[in-house]
Amino acid sequence: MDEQCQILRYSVSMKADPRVQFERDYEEYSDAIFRFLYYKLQNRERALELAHDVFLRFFEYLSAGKEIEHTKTFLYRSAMNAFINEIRTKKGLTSLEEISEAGHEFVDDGDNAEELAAQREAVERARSLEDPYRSALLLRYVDDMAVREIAEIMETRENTVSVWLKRGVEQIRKKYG
Amino acid sequence: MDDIQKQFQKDARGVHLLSSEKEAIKQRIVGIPIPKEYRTPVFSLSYFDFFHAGRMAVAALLVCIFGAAPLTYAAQHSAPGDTLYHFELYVVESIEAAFKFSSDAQIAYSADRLEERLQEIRETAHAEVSAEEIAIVVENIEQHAQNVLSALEVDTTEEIFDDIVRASALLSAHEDLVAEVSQEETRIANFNDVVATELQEQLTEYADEATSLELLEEIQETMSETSDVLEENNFETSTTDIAALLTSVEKEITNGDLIQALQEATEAKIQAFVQEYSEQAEE
Repeated sequence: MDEQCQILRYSVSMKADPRVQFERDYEEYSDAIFRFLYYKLQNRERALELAHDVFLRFFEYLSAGKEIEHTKTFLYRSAMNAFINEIRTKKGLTSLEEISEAGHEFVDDGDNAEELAAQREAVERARSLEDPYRSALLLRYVDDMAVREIAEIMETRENTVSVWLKRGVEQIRKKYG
Repeated sequence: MDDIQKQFQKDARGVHLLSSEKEAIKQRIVGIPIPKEYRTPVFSLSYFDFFHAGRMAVAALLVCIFGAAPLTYAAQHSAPGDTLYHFELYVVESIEAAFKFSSDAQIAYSADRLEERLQEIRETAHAEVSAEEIAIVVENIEQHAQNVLSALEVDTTEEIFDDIVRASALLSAHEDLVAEVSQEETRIANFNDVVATELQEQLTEYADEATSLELLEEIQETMSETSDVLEENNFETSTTDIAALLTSVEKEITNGDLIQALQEATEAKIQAFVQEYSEQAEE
């Protein structure tokens, strides 16, 4: 009985403090959301800022006591919206390459220079893949999402995602090979 | 999955936050106070006769006793003369600024802080705040003005440009008030001269690379923003310098000198903001 009470108390406290849920989900999705944004923006600093904004919005939702049914979808949709918003506000910047050129990467590499350079190289290599194929590939093969989930996040039909994945794989073979 | 796909997967999985970045973002977010549950009133221990170091020590002690989150909230809502005001200026601002990674975000942050500080200066003009406290606010204003100015040397995106225009107008409108409350000549008096020259150079540089259509769009947008400010504030346009500038812009467009037209349209926009902020300062 004592044990049951303890579990009940624990579950109540879990619900009461949004920080608990936030920390758990942040741990699980922060790298993936950052990667998703970095690949889309091709700019590490902006990806960091937008990832911060996405999780801040998530925390605000939790703090306001709002129910989030699917955390993963919520976070990716927020990231997608943040990216679209970024493109809209960057007047005159019409392509990812231009955003990257205007973005000025000025990371203080310090002790992580090698790691950051490898990351930058990976992101730059993927630039040759067109979006939305690149994003679909990332969600499918790196984040292990189902086609249904990708369709939900990218607000399209499952068939369309399947076509994107097929074309994306063809592009990978052509451009990475 | 073939080897090439595996390579893509391996590359991508290597892209992640550094552990320091991950921790810093998390701490920044969980440090935000949660409404209702944790909200606390702003402390005011201004009757204690000690400054900076002493107050920071008290702030540090309060952090130990009550935790950082409610204090951060309280500090953000403090005013010159409050103990937590020092905590806001020297601790909260440093942390917040550390999370502005791009030059756009850094300049927007400094422009926002300038607006906040000048609002505080307006309020302190009617309150009993010591000269030492005023000096701290003015020093902070100068620091943020310097940050905004530095942006002109680094980059000039449209967002940065707008923030610089806003900062320039804010400081112009408050120049006399700041000098009056601080009872000394401040460095911000020189700020607008430097900005005006730099803006002119940047505009010329931009105009040299832009097409006529892009320039016309930019001029139209600038004039429309100016009109919005005038309309929102019910300013009489017929008797101001702004009206003369706007007429001149149209003349320059007719003459085909789009660079001059853009410079004058920008000047009109700054003047409109100055008028808006000046009225606020007088209220």
